[in-house]
Amino acid sequence: MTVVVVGGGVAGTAAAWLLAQEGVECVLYHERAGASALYAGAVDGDAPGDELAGFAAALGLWRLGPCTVASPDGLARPALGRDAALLDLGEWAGRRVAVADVARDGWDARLVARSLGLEAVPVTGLREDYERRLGDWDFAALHDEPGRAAWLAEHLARAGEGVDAWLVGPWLGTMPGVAARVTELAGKPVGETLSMLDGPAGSRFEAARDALLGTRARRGRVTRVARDGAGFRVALEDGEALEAEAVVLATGGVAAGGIRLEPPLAGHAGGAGFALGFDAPVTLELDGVLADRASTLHGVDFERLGRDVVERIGAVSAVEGLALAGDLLAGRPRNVLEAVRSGLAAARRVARAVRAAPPASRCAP
Amino acid sequence: MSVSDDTDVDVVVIGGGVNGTGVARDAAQRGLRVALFERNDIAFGASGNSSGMLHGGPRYLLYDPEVTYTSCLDSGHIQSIAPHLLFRIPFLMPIYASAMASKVTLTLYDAFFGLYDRYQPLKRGKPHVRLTPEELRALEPGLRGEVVGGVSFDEWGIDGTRLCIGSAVDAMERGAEVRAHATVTDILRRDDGSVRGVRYRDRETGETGVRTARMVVNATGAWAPITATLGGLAPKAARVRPGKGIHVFYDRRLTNYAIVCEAVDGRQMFLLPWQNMTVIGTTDDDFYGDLDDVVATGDEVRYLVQAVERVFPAIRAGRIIGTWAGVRPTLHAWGPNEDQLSREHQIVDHAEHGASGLYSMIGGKLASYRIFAEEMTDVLARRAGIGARSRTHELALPGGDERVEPLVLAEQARIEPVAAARLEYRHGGRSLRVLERMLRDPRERAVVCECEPVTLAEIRYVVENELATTVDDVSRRTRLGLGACGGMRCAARCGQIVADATGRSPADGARMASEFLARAARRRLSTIGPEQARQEALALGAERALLGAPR
Repeated sequence: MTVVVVGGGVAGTAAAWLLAQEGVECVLYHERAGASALYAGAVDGDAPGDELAGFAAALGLWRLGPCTVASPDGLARPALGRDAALLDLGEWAGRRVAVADVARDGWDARLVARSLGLEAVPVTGLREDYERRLGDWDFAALHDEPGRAAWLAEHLARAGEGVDAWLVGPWLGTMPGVAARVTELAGKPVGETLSMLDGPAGSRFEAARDALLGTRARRGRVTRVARDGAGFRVALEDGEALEAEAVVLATGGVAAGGIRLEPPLAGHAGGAGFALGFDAPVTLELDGVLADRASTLHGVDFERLGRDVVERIGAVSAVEGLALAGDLLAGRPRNVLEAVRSGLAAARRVARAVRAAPPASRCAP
Repeated sequence: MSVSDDTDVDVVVIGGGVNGTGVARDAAQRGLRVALFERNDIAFGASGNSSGMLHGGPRYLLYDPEVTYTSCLDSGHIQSIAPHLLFRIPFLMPIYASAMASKVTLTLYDAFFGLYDRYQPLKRGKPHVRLTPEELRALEPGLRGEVVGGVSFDEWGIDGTRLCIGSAVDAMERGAEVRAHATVTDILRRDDGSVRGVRYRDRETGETGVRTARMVVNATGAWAPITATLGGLAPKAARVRPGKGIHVFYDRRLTNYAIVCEAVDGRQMFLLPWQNMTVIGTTDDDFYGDLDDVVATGDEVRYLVQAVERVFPAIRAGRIIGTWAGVRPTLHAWGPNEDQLSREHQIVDHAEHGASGLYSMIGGKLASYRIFAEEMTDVLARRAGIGARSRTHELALPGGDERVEPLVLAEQARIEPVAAARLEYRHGGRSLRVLERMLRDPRERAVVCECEPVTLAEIRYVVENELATTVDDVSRRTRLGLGACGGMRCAARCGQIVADATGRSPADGARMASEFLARAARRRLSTIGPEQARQEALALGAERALLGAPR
C-alpha cells in the first residue's frame, strides 16, 4: 500500500480523490461519524477555486455558489454552496414558494413559513400514521425507494397549483439523486431545508464519498501509526497492519478525532493529560497550552480550557511522509471548503514525497 | 380591597424565588395589591437549584428541632395544595462496619429515626424500618462495602421551579403584577426614610419605570445584602452567610431508593432518584463570587462522585449530563462551619435602620417557604391594617385542585403515556388546558424535546401563561433540553417557537438557542471526560453547520 488516508470526512475524501487522480495508490479508512457526517447540507467557506470545483464536480453532491438555505425551524442563512437537494431560497425570491405542510411531529410548516415569509400548503406526505413520528433520517430513507419518491412527487404536484417551488423538510433520501427525481416527477423544483443531527445530509455525503472512491474507501479503525524504516506501519483495530509510504491524517480535532486523551495516571510520563494514538514523532499543542499545563491529576481540564477547546486542534509538527488535513491542522474549526482545500494540499504534498522516494521502496521486486 | 389609593400598589416584592413568589401569592390572596420584580427568571437562584426535596430535615432534629417540625408540617400543607408536584423518595441509610462499634451506631440511628417518626405523620411519611444487611442488598443490589445494617426513612421530592411558578401564576391570577427579567435599580425612600416604592429596569427591553408602594419586601435570597444597598442601607442590614451547593445529575434513574452516604470529610451526602434522572449532592461552601453566574467546578463534582462511589461504585459508569449550582441564603453567624449553620428564617424590619416599610426575608428552606411567606405577609397585613388571615395552606396552587389520570390524558391527547405523565406532573389539573390546545390544533401534540419529553403545546402554554420569554426560561419550566442530548435536538426548534410566540425574529430565536446551548455546555464542562469531550465536539460542529454562525 502506498498511501493510507485516515479519516473519511471531507478532508480525507478530497485527499484520497486527488491521490487517485495523480495515480498514487491509496486507501482511506473511516470509522465513526465525524463532523462531515453530521453536517447540515450547507457548504461554507471561501469563494471556491478551480481545484475545489474539480473535486466538487467529481463528488457530484453539491451546487457551489452563493445561496440562501433554511434551517428546519425557519431560520434563513447564507452559504457558499449546498447539497443539491437543498432549496436555494435566494433563487426563488419573489416567487411563490410553498412550505410543504406534512403532518409530521417536529415539522411545523406554518412556523417555518411565517419565519421565512412563505406560505404553508397542506400536502399528504404520510402513508401510515407512524411515519409522523419517524426521525428525519428514517423518513428520508423511505424516499430512497423510487416508488415512494414518485408517490410524494405526485402529491406535491396535486397540491401545488400555482406554486413555483416547494420547500420540504430534510426528507429527500439518504442517497444522492432523490431530490432530482422528485423534482422531475412533480414538475417543479422540490428542495429541502438543512438537516438537523438526525437528518440525511451527512449520509448523502458518505454515499457520494463511497461512490467516488469505490473500493479505496474502507471501514475500519486505525489504532496506531508508527514509523517503520522510511515508511509507516498502520495498525487496524481488527489486528491487520498495513505498510504505507506515507500517511494523511484527517481525523478531526483533538477530541473529536483519533487522538486519545488519557489521564496521566494511566502511566504516561511528563504529566500531559493525553496520549497520541499515533506513534510517530509528532508533538501536539493547542496555542502552546494543551501539552504543558492543560491537564490536572484527573485528566485534561476542559473546565479551564473552555468548551471550544474540544474541537480545536493541535498543530502536529512536520514529519516526512505524514501530512495533515482538516480540523487536525487548523487553529479553529474548519468549514467544508477549507477542509477540502487542506485535504487537496495534503495529498499534493504526499504525492510529491512518494514520487521522490526511490522506486525500490514503492515496488516489490 | 385596596389599602391606599395614592400608591401604584400596596407592596413591592423583590425576588422571584420561593419566598418572593410565596409572599406575592399570600399578599394577593389577602387582597393586597402586589408587584413582584425578578432580576433573572423565576426560580433562577437557590429555589430552582436545590436538592429538589421538601425534606423534613432529620439532620436538624438534634439542634434545631423547630426547623424539623415546621418543615414537616409545611411539607404536609404543600402536599395538599399541590399534590401533583410531590413524589415519594424512600431513603436507605446503610451503616458500615468500622473500628467503632457499628452495632451501637445502628441502634443509635434506629432510635434517632424513631424520634423522626413522630414528625412523619405531618407529611404523610411512612415510619422508618431497621434493615439487615441482606435486606439492604435486596432492596439496592448496587450497594457495596461491609454493611452491618441500616434504616429506611421517607421524604418527598419536588420540582422547586414548578413550585415557584405555581405561586407566581396564582399571584397573577389574583391580580398581582409579576415581572421576570426586570431588575430593581433603586428602592425609593421619602425624606423621613420610609419607603416610597422602587425603580426598575427591564433587562430585555431596557425600559425603566417606577412602582410606588409603602411596603417593599426584599426576598432576594443570597442577593439580599446587595438588594439592601439599593435602598441606601448597609449590606450588613440584610446579612446572609451565602453557601454554595452543587448537584450533579445523571441521564437516568440508577437506583430505586435514595442512598445516604458520607463524603471524605464526614459530611452527609446522598444519591437521589429524582424525576426521570439521578441526582447526587450536595456541597455547602461559603461563597463570595458572582451570584448571577454560579457554576459547579470540577473539584466539587469529584468530591461528590467519590463519596457516592464508595457505597455505590456503579456511579462511575453512569453518564453525567449536567450540574446545578445555587447559593443558600443562610442566616449569618461567625464561627460555625457551613453545615452547622441554622436553617431557621428571620424577617428583618428595616425600620431599625431608618427605612420604615422595608423588610428583608433572610434564611429559610424550600420545605418551610410557605410558613415563612405567611409570617412575612402577616407583618404586611398588620401594617396595611387589614385583618385577613393566610389561606395559602388550604387554597390549591394552580393545577393542584384537580387530579388528572395520565393514561386517560395520553389517550385523549393522543400522546405517549410518558409524555402525558410528565405533563401531568408539571401542571396537575392545568394539563387539561394544554390538552385543550392539542385538541384545538393536533400539531401541537408534536414532541419537541424527546428526552423529557416536552410537546409543542406545552412550550406555547408556558410562554403564554408562565412568563417564559427565552429558551432558558422554557427549559426551567419544562426541563426541555436537560436530558442526555443536552438540547442538541430541541434548542434550535424551541428558539424558533419562542421567537414566533413572542413576536421576535428567527435570528433572535437562533441567538436564544445558541445561548442556551452554550450555558448548558458550560454546566457540563466540569464533568466531562475524553469520550464525552468527543461528543461535545461533534455537537458543536453540528450546531455550527446548522446555524452557520461564525464562532
